[in-house]
Amino acid sequence: MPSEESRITRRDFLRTAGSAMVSALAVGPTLSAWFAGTSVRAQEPPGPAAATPLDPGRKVRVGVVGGGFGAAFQWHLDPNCIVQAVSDLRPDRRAYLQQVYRCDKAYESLEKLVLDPDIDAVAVFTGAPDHARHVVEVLNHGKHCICAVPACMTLEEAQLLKETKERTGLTYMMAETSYYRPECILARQLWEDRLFGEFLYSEVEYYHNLSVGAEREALFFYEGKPTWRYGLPPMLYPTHSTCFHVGVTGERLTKVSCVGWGDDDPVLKDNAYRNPFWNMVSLCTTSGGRICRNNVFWRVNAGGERAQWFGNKATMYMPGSGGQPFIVQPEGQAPMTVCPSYLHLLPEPMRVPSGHGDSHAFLTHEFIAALVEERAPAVDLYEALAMTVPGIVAMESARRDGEQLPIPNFDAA
Amino acid sequence: MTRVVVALIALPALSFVPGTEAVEPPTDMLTVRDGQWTWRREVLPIARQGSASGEGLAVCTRLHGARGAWRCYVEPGIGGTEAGIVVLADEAGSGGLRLGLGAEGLTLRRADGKAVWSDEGMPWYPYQAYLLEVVVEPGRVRVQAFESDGRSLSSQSPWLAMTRAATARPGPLALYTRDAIARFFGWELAEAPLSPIVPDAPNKLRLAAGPGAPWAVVGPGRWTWTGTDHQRLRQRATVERSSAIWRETRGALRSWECRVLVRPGAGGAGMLFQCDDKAEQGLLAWLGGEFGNGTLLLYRLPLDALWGGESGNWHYDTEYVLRAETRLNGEVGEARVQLLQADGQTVIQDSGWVNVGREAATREGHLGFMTWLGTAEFWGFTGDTGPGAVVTTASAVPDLGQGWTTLGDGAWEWADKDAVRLRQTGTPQRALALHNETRGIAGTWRCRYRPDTGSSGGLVFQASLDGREGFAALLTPEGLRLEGLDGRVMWQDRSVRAEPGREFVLTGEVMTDRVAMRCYAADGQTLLSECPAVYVPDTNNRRQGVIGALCRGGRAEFWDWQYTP
Ligand SMILES: NC(=O)c1ccc[n+]([C@@H]2O[C@H](COP(=O)([O-])OP(=O)(O)OC[C@H]3O[C@@H](n4cnc5c(N)ncnc54)[C@H](O)[C@@H]3O)[C@@H](O)[C@H]2O)c1
Repeated sequence: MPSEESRITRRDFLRTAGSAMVSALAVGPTLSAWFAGTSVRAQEPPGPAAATPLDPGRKVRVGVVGGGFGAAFQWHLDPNCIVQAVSDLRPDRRAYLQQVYRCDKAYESLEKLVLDPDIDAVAVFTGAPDHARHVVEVLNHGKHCICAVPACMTLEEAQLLKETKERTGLTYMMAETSYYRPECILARQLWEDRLFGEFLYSEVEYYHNLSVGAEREALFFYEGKPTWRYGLPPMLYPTHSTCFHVGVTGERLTKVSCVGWGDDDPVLKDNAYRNPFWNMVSLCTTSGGRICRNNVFWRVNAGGERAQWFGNKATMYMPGSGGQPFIVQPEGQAPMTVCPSYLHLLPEPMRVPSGHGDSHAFLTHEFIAALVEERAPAVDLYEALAMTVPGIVAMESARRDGEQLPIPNFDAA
Repeated sequence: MTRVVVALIALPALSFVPGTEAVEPPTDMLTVRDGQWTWRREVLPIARQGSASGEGLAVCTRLHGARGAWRCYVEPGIGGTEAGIVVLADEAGSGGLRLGLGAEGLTLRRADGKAVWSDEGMPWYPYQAYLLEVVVEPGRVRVQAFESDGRSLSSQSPWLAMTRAATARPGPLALYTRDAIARFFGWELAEAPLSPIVPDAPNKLRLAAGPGAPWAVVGPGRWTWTGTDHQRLRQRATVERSSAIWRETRGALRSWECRVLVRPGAGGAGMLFQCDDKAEQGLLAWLGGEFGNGTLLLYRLPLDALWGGESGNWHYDTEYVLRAETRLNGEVGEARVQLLQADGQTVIQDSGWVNVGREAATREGHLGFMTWLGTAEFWGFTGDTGPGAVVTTASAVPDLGQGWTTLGDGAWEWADKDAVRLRQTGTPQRALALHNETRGIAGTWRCRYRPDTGSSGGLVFQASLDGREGFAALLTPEGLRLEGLDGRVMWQDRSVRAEPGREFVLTGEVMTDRVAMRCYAADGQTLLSECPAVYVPDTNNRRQGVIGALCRGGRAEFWDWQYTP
C-alpha cells in the first residue's frame, strides 16, 4: 500500500515551494517582510501579526454572474478584490447582486459581461448544466474563472475544460464549499500528520431532501417551467461529497460501481436527463488502493454534506443531521471533540460567518489570493475534475446496473 | 485601478494538495536544525514540523534582534509535548528562552528545560492556532498568549527578571517542537507588544473548571472571576451558548438565587438550577426575548420553553435578582421563577407555579449559569440557598391560551370567541405572538394579515420560542420585507406596502439552506410580490421553529395559520 505522502516527489515540492516563494517575494515588501520577518516594524501601531501577506495595492476586478447562490459570497469584503460588474438574466436577481456587492455596473448576461475589458476574473454561479459552456466562454475571453460546482456534466465537457484551461493558461477554480468546511481542513491536517495510521476507508455523503414540499416547488420550477434541478441525477452533483476524499487525501478515484433508487414520481419520468433515480450509492476504489463510499440522495429525511474517515489508528466523524457529534478518536489519546476554527487564516474583514460551514469567505479569498500571488488555487481544474468525473462515470455505472467502470484521469500530463 | 498581470505559468497541479514529503524549506526563510520541516498551504503558507518524536528546531534567520515583541502563531497537533518559539538564542537557535504550549499549558523555560513561569490552566485545543508573544526589555521579559484572532488575551505573565547580558545579545527567532507535530505562521518582531500588562489577565481570574474541578464549563465560553476575591463570575466571550455549573452545590425541591447583569449586545443570560454538570438536564430561569428589553422565561432542558412573560422587563447593564423554587404539589412537580429588582424585594416578573414534571422538580442537581451570544455577570449566589424563598407580589401575565405565548410589549387578544383571529390592539415597539404547537423546519408557513393604520407586521416562521431566531415576512407602510428575527433585513420590495384595512396572505418558505417569502392578495392566488430565495447558513436547518405573528407600531389582525412540511 503506498504511503500517504508518496504521490508528491521532492522535485514537485521544491518547484511548488520555490515558485510560491518566488512569486511571494515578487509581490512586494509587505509579503517579504511578513514572511521572512526582515525588520522590526517600528512605524506600525500594535496589532496582531498580519494574517494575510497580500499586497493591498493589488486588486483583482471580478464580475459576478448568477444572483442566487452567487449572491452569498464575500467579494466586496476581500481587500484585494473589486466587484466591477454583476450579471443575471433575471432583472430582480441582477438588482439583488448589485445590492449585495454594492456595485453600479450590471450586464444582462454573462455573454455581455465577458466583453468588459475592465474585468480580470469572472465568478460563474449559473445553473450546473451551463457551467462548462460558461467557463469556456470566460476563459476564451482571457479572464480567470471561479465556478460553482460541479465542473461539468459529461466527459466531453471535462476534456474541453482541460484543453481550454491548458491552452489559455488562465486560472480556474471550482467553488467547492466542502473543501473549506473546518472539518475538512482538519481532516487534511490529520491526513498529513498521519494520525489516521493506515488510512483505510472513507464514507462521504450529501443529503438534500429536495424532492418534497415547498423546496420541490421552489427548486424544480421557475415561472411554471422546470429548472435545471428538475430530475438532476444525484451523481451529476457529486463534488460536495467526493471532495471529502479527494480534497483530503489528494488521491484520485479510479473505479466506480454505482446503484440508484427511484420511484414512480413524474419527475423521474420526464426529466431532460432521462434520470430514473432520487438516490444513488457508489463504491469507488482510489489511486492509493483505498475504498470510498459516496452517497448522494435527493429523497431522504436527512440533510447536509458530511464524511467519516477511517484509519487503523484514528477515525474522524463529522457532525450530522441525525445528531451525530463531531469527534476524532485517535488511538491512545483523549478524543477530540472541539473542531478548530480557521477563520484567522483570512484577512480580518472576511472573518464573517458564511454559509456551508463558513466556507464561502475561504473560497472567495483563496481565488483572489491565488491570482494575486500568481499560483494555482486550491481546487483548480485538475482537482475539480477529480471530484466531478467520478460522478459522471457513476451515473453510467448505475444505468448499467452497477457495472464497475474505470474513471478517466484528467490530470496534467 | 491596476490590472492584475497574471503570468501564464502553469504551476504544478499538485502545488496545493495536502501532504508534502519532508523537505527543508528555502534557507532564506527557515534554517532547519532538527526535525522534519515542510511548507504547506491552507490559504496562507504555513511551516510544519512533521515528526511526532524528538526535537524540532528551525531558525528564522532573517528575523534578528534582542529587544521588542517576538511573536508567532503556533498550532500544536494532537498529543504532543510542547511547541513554541525561542528568543534570545544564539545564531544556531540554541540557548535562550522557550515559550511553548503543550501538555503543561503555557510555559516559559530556560534552555535547560527548567520552567521560569507557567500557566498550567490555559485552555487550548489541538489544531487550533494561538499567538504566542515574548516581550524583551533590558533586564526583564514577559510572555503572553492570544486566541487565534490575535487580540483576545488568553494568558499573561508578570515581568520576569533576567540578567542584562541575557537580554542584550541579539539573536534570531527560532521555532521549536518537543515530541510534537506543529504548524507555525505569521512570525514577526514588533516594537510594541499586543497587550500591556492588565490587572485582569484571564489566567489570574480563570474559573477552576474541568474533570474533578469545582466547576464544569459547557460550550465555548470564557468564564472568569471579575476580581481576585472570586465572588463575581463573568462570561466574557461572544459565543453561542455557554454554561458554567458549580458542581459543589446540589439539591432539589428548594430555592435558588443569584444576581445577574447582562452586558449590551448579549442575547440572554440566566440561572440553571437542579441541572446536571453537562447542562443537558435541569431547569433554567432565563432573561431572554428581545435583546436588552426582554422577559423572564422558564425552560426545562434541553431548552423546552415552559413559560415566558411580557417584554420590556430586563435591560442591559442593570442589576437584578433571579430566584427559582421547585416543589411537589401532590404528584405534580412544579417550579416558579421570579425576576426581582436589585433590592431583592420588588418583584418584576413572576411565572407563578408551572408544571415542570415530577422528574425535573425532584431531580437533585447543581446551580449554574448560562449565557447566549454575549457577556453577562453572576454573583450573590451561595451553595446553600435554602428552601422557603417568600413570594409576595406577582404581575399578571395575560394568557391567550390555545398554545400561544406572547413576547414584547404588545396587547394581544382574541378577536372572536372561537379563538381563531388574533388581534394586537396596542402600539408596540415589537410584539410577538408564537404558537408553540405549530412546529417545524423546512416547509411553507402561511397566515392572513390585516394591518391597521401605521402598523407594520406579518408572519413569523421557524421562530425559536424566545423570539430571537427565525424569520418574518413583513408588510410595512414602506414596503414588503423579509427579515431575520435578529432584525437583519434580508430582502425588500417597496412596490407593495401595508394598507390599512386591506387583507393579505403572507407565506414564508424554508428550504435546506435558504428562505423565501411571498405576498398575495386576499384571494390567496394573486401574487403581489415574491423574493428570490436568500441563502442562510445551513445550521438554520437544525432549529425546530414555530409559527407566529409580529406587530409594530399599531393594531393588526392575524388568522388562518398553516404550516405545510
Ligand atoms: N454548496 C454549494 O456549493 C452550492 C449551493 C447552492 C448552489 N450551488 C451551485 O451554484 C449554482 C447556482 O445555484 P442557484 O441555486 O443560484 O441556481 P439558480 O438556477 O437559482 O440560479 C442561476 C442563475 O444564473 C442565471 N444565469 C443563467 N445563465 C446566465 C447567463 N448566461 N448570464 C447571466 N445569468 C445567467 C440565472 O438567471 C439564474 O438566476 C449552481 O450551479 C449550483 O449547483 C452550489
